[in-house]
Amino acid sequence: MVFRMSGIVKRFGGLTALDRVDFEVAPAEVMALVGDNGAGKSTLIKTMSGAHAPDEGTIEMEGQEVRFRSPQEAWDRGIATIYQELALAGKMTVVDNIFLGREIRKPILGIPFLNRQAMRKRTGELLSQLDVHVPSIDAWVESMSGGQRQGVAIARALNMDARLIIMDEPTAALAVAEVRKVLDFITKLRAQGKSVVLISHNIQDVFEVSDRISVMRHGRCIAVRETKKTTPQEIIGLITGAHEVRAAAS
Amino acid sequence: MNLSSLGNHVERFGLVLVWLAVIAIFGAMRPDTFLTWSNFSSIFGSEAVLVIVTLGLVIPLTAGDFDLSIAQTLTFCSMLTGLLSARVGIPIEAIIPIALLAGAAVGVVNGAITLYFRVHSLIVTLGVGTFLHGITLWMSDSQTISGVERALMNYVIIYRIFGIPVSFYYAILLAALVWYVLSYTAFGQQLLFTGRGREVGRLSGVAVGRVRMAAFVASGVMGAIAGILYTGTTGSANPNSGTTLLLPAFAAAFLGATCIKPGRFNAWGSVVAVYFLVTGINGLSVLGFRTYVHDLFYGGALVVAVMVSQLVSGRKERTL
Repeated sequence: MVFRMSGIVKRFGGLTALDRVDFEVAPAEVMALVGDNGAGKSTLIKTMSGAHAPDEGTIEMEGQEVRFRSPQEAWDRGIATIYQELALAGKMTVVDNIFLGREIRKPILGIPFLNRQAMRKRTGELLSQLDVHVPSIDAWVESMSGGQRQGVAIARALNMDARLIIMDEPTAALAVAEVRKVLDFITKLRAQGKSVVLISHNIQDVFEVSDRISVMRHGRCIAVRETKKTTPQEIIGLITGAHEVRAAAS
Repeated sequence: MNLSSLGNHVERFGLVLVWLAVIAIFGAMRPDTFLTWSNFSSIFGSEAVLVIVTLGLVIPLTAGDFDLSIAQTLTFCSMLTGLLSARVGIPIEAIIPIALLAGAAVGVVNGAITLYFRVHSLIVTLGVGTFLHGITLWMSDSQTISGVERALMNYVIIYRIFGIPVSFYYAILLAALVWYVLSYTAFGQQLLFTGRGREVGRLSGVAVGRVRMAAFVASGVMGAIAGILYTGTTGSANPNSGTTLLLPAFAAAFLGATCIKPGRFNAWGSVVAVYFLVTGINGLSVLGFRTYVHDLFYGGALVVAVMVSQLVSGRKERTL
């Protein structure tokens, strides 16, 4: 496994947001994470990305136990999280966003200077590799469409050498053609050997690109299914708790 | 050169052109008093302090924080320099590091309160600045302290290069340093992300707390440098010296953000803005206007600068 969480507990005051959650992702796997609002998906990804420290449980990245005290440490470990609204700074350019934290420098008379030329060149390469088209790499990100922003955010993750890429609702509020594009990005990442955690409400998207599906309910990870061996009906039943009702009835 | 790149150049150097126009107008009206090298060299030298205060403000402003205490840091460090030299008799080369450390300490206090208690920096630095002014008045007994070691004056205002006091060159060196850090270093990028997308920066691995703290310490040290130079410029320490510098520095910082690199607080824009403002005031006083023009000019410039920068950024959003 590239990434494994065992027995993760996270409490906020009296509320237990995560209750002994186990979660794992294999190499070159797209693991979907589904669940109703308030099921604990956001808290779980914040724990993976170093934004929250768990109260109990262990996290392993590539077989080594890790403990993230900040998002920076998670990035350094190769975990890139693409938040729905907070992935990129709107009032900064594409190049600035992609190279944040990984600036290319060039010494002039022994003094390090940012090498903007090299960064712009590399940005062009990254974007064409993903087949992302933006009006200009020097334009502010906020002027771009949701699909273009997802592309830029993924380019950033690739530039950071991320091995595990967590995507929070990447297709929400996108036009149909753009959803297609973002799902293509995800298959491309898998083809490059990257592991992806896909958080989504859209069961159709989940079935289209994922290899396995983890279902969260009431702060617990209640089921993991192989996508090929399950059905949307079963997954929806697990999300809504319909299976519990049936089990109680029989 | 096509029309839009011409437009960009006009925007970048607009303030420089306005400055030259102001010089031409006053020069035409008072060629014998205004348009003299001695008038300009004295402006360049004596206003170096304001340039440095403005540069100091630009650093936390880029990270989205205000340092209203910088003028009182200047006064405090100026008074510290004056007292240690005139009353205690410590040699000036030993005083300078002490004053710089004091400025850095003010920055640490500002940063620690702002970050730890999550209070807006505007409020924290307003309080810290006023508190510092109280300390300054207390330790000086509200008196101007004169009799500062002569060497300090020599190395600030007496020695000249091309007829301009050396203090001007210190300000230009610091402007070059701030320009380098803001435009050409990873730290500069982090400052900008901290100011423009703090939460994005944090989640993307920028240690925003450390960046903001560093910005406060930098502005504290800049305040201290300005304080030392202020003492050197007059040869004495006045317990109210910095009070009148805060508003001009803010006006210059915001005005500076409309030129050279429009839409960003920047070092060279700040330098141009300071000298534009003081040229205007100098010209008006040569024409015989009284001191009230200071307030009219600086206050008006601040408001106009904020309006222009809002227009600039609004148009950027539409066209890019």
